[in-house]
Amino acid sequence: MENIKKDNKTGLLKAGAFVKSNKNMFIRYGLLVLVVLVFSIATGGRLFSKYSINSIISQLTPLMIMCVGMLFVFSHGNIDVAEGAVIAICALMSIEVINAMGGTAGGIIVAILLNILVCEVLYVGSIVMSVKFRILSTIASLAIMFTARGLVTYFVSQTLGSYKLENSAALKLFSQTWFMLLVMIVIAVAGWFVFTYTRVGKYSRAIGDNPLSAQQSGANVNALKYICYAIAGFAVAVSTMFYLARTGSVTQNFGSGREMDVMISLILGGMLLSGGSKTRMSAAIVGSVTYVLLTNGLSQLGMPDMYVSLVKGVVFLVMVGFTLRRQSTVKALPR
Amino acid sequence: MGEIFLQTKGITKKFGDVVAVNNVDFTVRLGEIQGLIGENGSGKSTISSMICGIHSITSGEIVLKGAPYKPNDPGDARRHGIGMIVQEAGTVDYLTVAENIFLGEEKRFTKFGLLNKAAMEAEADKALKAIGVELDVTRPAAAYNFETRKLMEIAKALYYKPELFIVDETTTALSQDGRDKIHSIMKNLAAEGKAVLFISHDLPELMEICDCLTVLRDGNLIATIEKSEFSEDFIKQKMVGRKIEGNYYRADFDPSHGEQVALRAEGVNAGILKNIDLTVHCGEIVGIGGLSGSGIHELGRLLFGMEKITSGSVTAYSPRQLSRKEKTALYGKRLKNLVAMTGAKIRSLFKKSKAEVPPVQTSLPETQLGEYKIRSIHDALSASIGYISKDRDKETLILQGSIRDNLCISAINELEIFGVVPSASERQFSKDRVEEFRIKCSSINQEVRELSGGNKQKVSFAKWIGNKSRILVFDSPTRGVDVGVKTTMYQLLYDLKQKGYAIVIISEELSELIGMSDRILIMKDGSITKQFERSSTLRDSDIIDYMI
Repeated sequence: MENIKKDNKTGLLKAGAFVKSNKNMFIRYGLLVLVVLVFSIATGGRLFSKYSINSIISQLTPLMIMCVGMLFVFSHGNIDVAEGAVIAICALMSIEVINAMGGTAGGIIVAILLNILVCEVLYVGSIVMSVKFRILSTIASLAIMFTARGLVTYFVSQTLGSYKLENSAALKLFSQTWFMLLVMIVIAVAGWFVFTYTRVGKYSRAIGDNPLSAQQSGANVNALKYICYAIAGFAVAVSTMFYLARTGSVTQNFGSGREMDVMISLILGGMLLSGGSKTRMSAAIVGSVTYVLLTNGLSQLGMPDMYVSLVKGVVFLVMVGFTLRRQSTVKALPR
Repeated sequence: MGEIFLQTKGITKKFGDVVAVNNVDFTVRLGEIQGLIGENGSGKSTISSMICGIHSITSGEIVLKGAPYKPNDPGDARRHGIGMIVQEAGTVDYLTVAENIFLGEEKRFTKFGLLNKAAMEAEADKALKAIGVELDVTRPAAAYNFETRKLMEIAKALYYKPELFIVDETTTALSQDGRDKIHSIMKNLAAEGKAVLFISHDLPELMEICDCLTVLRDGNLIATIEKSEFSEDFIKQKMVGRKIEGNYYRADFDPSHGEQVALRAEGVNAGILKNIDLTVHCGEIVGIGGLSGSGIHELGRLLFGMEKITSGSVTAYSPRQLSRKEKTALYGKRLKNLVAMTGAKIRSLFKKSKAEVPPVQTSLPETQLGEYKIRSIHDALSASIGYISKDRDKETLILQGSIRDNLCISAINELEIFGVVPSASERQFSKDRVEEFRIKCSSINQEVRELSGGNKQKVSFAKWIGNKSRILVFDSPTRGVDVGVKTTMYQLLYDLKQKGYAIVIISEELSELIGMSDRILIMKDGSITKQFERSSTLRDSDIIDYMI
């Protein structure tokens, strides 16, 4: 009898330890399941109607692509806030290029290449600046954000109304469901593979926890920062085209708030904003799905947009508070 | 025997499900130095933290001069006449010495909300002079080295004239000089009729200083021993709960080694290092000794490419880099092995028998030696040099990472197949290392932070030996490691020597250097001043003269 009791206890303890050490995983999938359950019941299944699914995919694609790219940056414990403004400036340029070249496929390709170039210059530039002049990377990214947003505001104010694609069908490909799914899946799989199985990912996780140790284990910390920001820049460039395809025009506020979307998605995916060994690519993939389902579910329930932002803010606060507390509980334990 | 100052009655501390201290009774008497000894994680620091009000008491009580005592915070403890210096650095870098000494007690010098800086500085000066130290109290604490900062903490603790002074493992990180200073302060206090509680796992030190020793193991009180009954072997046995040979160093006195030079420094000047000449051969253990400010740690960093060299050179001779073709062949072999391993695993699923997994091919083929100039960490790693820092937890290990993360990150070269590191290989590699080094853990996915000091150090060892480093530079390899694991480490180092590894041990413990090295180099003021060959007659006292 006593034996059985003992076994039960160790069984429970083991289960407890398992939950504890896999907390991030439980947050990640638990929240997804919760969101799916709550909103499919609350919306009476409307959340998963054909129309709704299409809309979800069109929102999910650019977000997931950005999350996958940004995870590399966040895994170091660096935080980027410039995504929204960079998207806006890229979109603005793309419109100019595509309009100038008459909405041809050639024009779109040139626009994409130009986007990639600009994003790399901005992102790699900001991290090089941050490393060379020892500025906090978040501050460098704030600088980029204000500059880019300022430029967008200036150019938009020079035209009446907004920048528009003259040939509204030019970017049709980027709003085709199959194409969105294809690009999204290819990028997610590639990102997962690189982050999970190669040096870049392994070193990045180590850097997030302990850059000194990572360096002494063979990681070239600065080079890895550059590489990860380059990956993030590429992701932002690609996702720009999907955002642009949805609206076809650029206004002063185009893209604003996307940086928060990325952050909340990653947190919903169970990621610590301080990065480190526990970072998993699935945080970006699952987190962005959870996030899009959450916002869509809320608006389908008839919640006005301003309240949706409020809910986002609360979710962000609660999750950040939760992850912070998890860290400090661990630190309090003595040797 | 002195009057009882403090007595614990069945104190117990639990952190969640973990019992850190279990039902411990012991007494601290006035006019005596009471020692507290035990392996890492035996509960020493937890007990002192409870006495000082840093941790709450789960059950049991503390009696102070006959009255129950329950401190809420360190300030409360101070008012009850208890002062403590902690194991880690307890000073704030950018506050001045005076501000550090009176941190939290600024009120003493405040009038109408304004701080009388001059008065505070004068008092700080007095506090320091009381322990025989003179410092410029207006300079920031960061301007002084670790040792001096510890002295500031002592001055701070003693300023309040405590009746009980607690010293928690402070001396392990100090040089002999600093230790002597603290020892004499403790002895003086005891002579003045104050009580001292000295926590350490350095047994000889405790035996020398203490009047009475309490031995802890896994949170339990094992024995209380009076000075007259001190015996090193007996106490060691009590600490680890098994018999340990009196001498756990290597038994031979044969300083012979391989012919091949593995590592050579020629006329190197770098930072505080001056004109360093050093040769390490394959199969040789070279010990580097000296006071902590003498440059011994910088020498270790130099050999791993972390110090900027102003003149001279460091050269390593290690297996040359593989050509592209050899690499491809190696990757092919590993891939084949991985497939075989996976196949065996899958078959075992159906057969319900244990998988016969062939060992993963991780090694590079034996090749000719190449010559490497060491100027950066990258160079050092290419030259198969492994390095464990003195500050293992901060530099060598990723505490938040799993054992697997820590072991595999330096072994990517040994595991990758065309740039990809398969999870199966990582798991197998980590399991093999855990078994080889007998690392006590729940699984390879356990966080390194949760391991004990000794097991952490085993992970550091495994990290560099597992990735086929041929030249090992270990700074303070047994720092914060208990007797049981120490024995294993020494045996391991000796085995590595026999296998032809070139090993550099940097240590502030002379007995360790004498016990393990084929050759000992003594450093002073940044240069190597003396060399000793291994011999059975070499004693600490022969060496100390050259260090100071």
